[in-house]
Amino acid sequence: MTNSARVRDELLVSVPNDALALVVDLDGCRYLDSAAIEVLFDLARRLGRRRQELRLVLPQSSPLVRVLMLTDVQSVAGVHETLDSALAQ
Amino acid sequence: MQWRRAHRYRDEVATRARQQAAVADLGQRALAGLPLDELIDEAVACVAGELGTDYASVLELTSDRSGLLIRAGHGLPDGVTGGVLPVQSDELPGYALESDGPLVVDDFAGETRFGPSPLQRDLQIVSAMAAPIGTPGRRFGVLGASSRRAHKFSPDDALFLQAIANVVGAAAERERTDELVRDSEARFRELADTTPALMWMTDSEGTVTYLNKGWLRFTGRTLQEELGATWAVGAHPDDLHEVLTRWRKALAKREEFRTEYRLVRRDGSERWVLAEGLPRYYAGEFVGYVGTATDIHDRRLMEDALRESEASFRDLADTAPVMIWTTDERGLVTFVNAGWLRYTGTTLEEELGPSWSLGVHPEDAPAVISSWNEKLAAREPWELEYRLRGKSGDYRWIVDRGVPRYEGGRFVGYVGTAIDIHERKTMEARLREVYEREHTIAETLQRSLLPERLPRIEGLEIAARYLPAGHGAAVGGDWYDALERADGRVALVVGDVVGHGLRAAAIMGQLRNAFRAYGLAEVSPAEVMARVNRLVMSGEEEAMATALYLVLDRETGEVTFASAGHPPPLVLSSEGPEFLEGGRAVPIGAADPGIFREGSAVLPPGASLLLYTDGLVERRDIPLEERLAALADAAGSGEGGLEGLCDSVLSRVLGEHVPTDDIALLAVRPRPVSTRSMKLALPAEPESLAVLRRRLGRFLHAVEATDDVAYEVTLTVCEAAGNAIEHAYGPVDATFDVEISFQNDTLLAVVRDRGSWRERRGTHRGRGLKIIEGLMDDVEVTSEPDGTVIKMRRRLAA
Repeated sequence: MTNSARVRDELLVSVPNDALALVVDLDGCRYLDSAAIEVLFDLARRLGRRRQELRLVLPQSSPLVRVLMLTDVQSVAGVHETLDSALAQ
Repeated sequence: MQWRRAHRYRDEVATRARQQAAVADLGQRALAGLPLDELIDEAVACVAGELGTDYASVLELTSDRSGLLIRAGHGLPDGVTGGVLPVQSDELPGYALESDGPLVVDDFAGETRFGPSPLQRDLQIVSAMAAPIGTPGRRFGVLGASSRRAHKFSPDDALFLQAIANVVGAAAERERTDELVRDSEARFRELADTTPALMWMTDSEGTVTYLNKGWLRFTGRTLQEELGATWAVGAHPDDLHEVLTRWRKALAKREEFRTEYRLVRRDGSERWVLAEGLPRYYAGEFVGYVGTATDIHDRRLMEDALRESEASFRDLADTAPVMIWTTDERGLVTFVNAGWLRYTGTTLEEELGPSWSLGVHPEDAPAVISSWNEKLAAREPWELEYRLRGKSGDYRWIVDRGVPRYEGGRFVGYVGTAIDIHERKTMEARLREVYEREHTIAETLQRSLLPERLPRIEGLEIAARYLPAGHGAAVGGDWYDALERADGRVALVVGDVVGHGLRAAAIMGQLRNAFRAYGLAEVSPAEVMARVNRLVMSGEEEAMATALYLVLDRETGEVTFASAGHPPPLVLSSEGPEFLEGGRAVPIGAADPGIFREGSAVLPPGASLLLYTDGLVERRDIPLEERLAALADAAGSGEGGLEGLCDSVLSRVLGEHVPTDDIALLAVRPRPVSTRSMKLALPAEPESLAVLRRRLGRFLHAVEATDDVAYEVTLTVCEAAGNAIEHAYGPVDATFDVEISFQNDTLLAVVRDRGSWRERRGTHRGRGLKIIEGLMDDVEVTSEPDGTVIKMRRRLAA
């Protein structure tokens, strides 16, 4: 709630125009609230306008799995088990 | 996200620390005697720099109280400083004069209480703050900061401005007093030089720094000959040893001093004098003695003469300049000499019997009569200072002394002499008055350096004691502190600045702030210590201190700590007392760079931890191990309340001993987290979510929930709390409640807010509710007249 806007802006700025996708690695992430999920949706939307993808790395064992499924994030971002998988073309 | 304000908690803390350091720095310069003009210039530069405003100024009230002189300004156009504004109570400066605290104007356009001053209008000021300088009833003026654009001033900014104004106010008051004191001291010396009484002053070493004309006239010597030595120059060789012994003893203990001896004059003649002296203090520091010497030669002669015969006594008595009296064995006056009658203007008949006491001042009479009767009954020497009515009807202070006389072994009454000490008494009173005033100013400055009240840290029981040594000092060089870090661990500090009085206190203030700032930023205690040390070594002033910095994890009981020349912390538990060894290094300010080490340990459950400063265990002739063992003994098992522990440690360790060094004592005990329920009330601000998350984390860890469950429960409760924060409406201190409890193996979480329901803003709030409903087994949202209640249930696996 207190830093999500900043996180979003920083992420957006870091993506060059010729990149195919932005990979956000959530492995090891221990806490994600609705504000952060909003950022993911927002990111996906803005990247989409630039014809870029949002991909998430989320192992099955992560505690965040249930929440992200609940919010249907896989409808706007590709969800991958590993970083390698997410980086593959 | 539309929160009220998106400020970052850590930046706020850094700003606050910086502002506090600026106030302490200015305060220390004021104490060190920086001239008022320079102090005011520094104050306005500091305010403008710190707050980022276009202008800052100090306005001084004129002596007729109708105008405000622009005494100093930062950023002001040429020629403005020195101008005078009329005082108008419907303008900000005039309004501020009447206010009892700082005033904040985010935008004059919306301000209804007052308007800008003509100067502010000319400069097109849009936002401003003003703080009154000086105490109500004795206002010095106003400290202001203003900008040509709208500026959002925070409560911290207002407090900072008022703190700077207070420093300027205290310094202005002190300068005023200094002038008075200088006048007063000049007048004192004038007066001292006209009185026949003999007066002397020494510095703190006991070296004579002043003798009045009366003294020089009496001894026949010059100031050069008398100054710089102990006043015992001129003492009769037979009396010298006794006098010096008494003087050294009194000086060592800073006690009242009193002795009779023969003072040898330049022409070789001797007179018996009674020398008396009182210790003087300035701002808590001992600065020397001030005293008098009274000629008691005749009295001593009288006492000798009386042994010879009554007749020769009376002869002698009537020619003596002092006042003399005798009584019979019942205590009734049988004789007063001509000197007495000259003083009182009465006749012998009027003074005989019990009627002499009629001339005694009514306020002093009860003490005179009761002490006289007491001594008479015991046939002991009697002496008292009191006021006696003189010939003109005025009362004057005299010291009256009587000794029992015997004739052939039979008690026949008393003989006494009285000496006029009026001049001396009025001198003493005036001196006391002057030093009282100085003391009050110093105390006000000191209070700005006092440690804040102990913070309330959740999950930690804390108690502390602070005893500054020193005569009348409100604060010394010791301190304690406790703060909660962002990672949830608690940092505890205890420290001891070398030295005494105001200077040590000012350094203490800066060190305390430094430890806070670094303690929040750095993880490692050794690194915190190293950074504080670097700060001290890079400063201009020489300073040294010992300190103990310790970081405690409330959940696990793990502690890491670094000590800079400081005595070891004491752990009290059912396993017995234990001092934490390790992490030792030299004091702060001793070496550049300093090498600091860390020690670590784990506190057993239910243990208490005691941090303290050297003053508690300091004893000159007892070795350290013994003193520490005594402390461990006195602390016992540390059971029971911490307040009681502090009291009993202090009374058992100190006993009758009066400490000469400051003492700080800090006792903490991590409170076990209840595993059955949790209840919390938090302010409805975004920052509360971090606190809530930490607390939930500890609670869920204690009930052994799995990581998944812990995350989901924490997330849903925080989402519900997010709702409460969004709904908060009204005064800033609106709060919301969170309560977690168990019903069998179902966890029940209740979040209650006080705000009025608002339409959900943005899609993510809806998402939040979806998350709550998805992760919890059961959700109930009820809207009550005074707020909304969200109840959530989740079954935990057995």
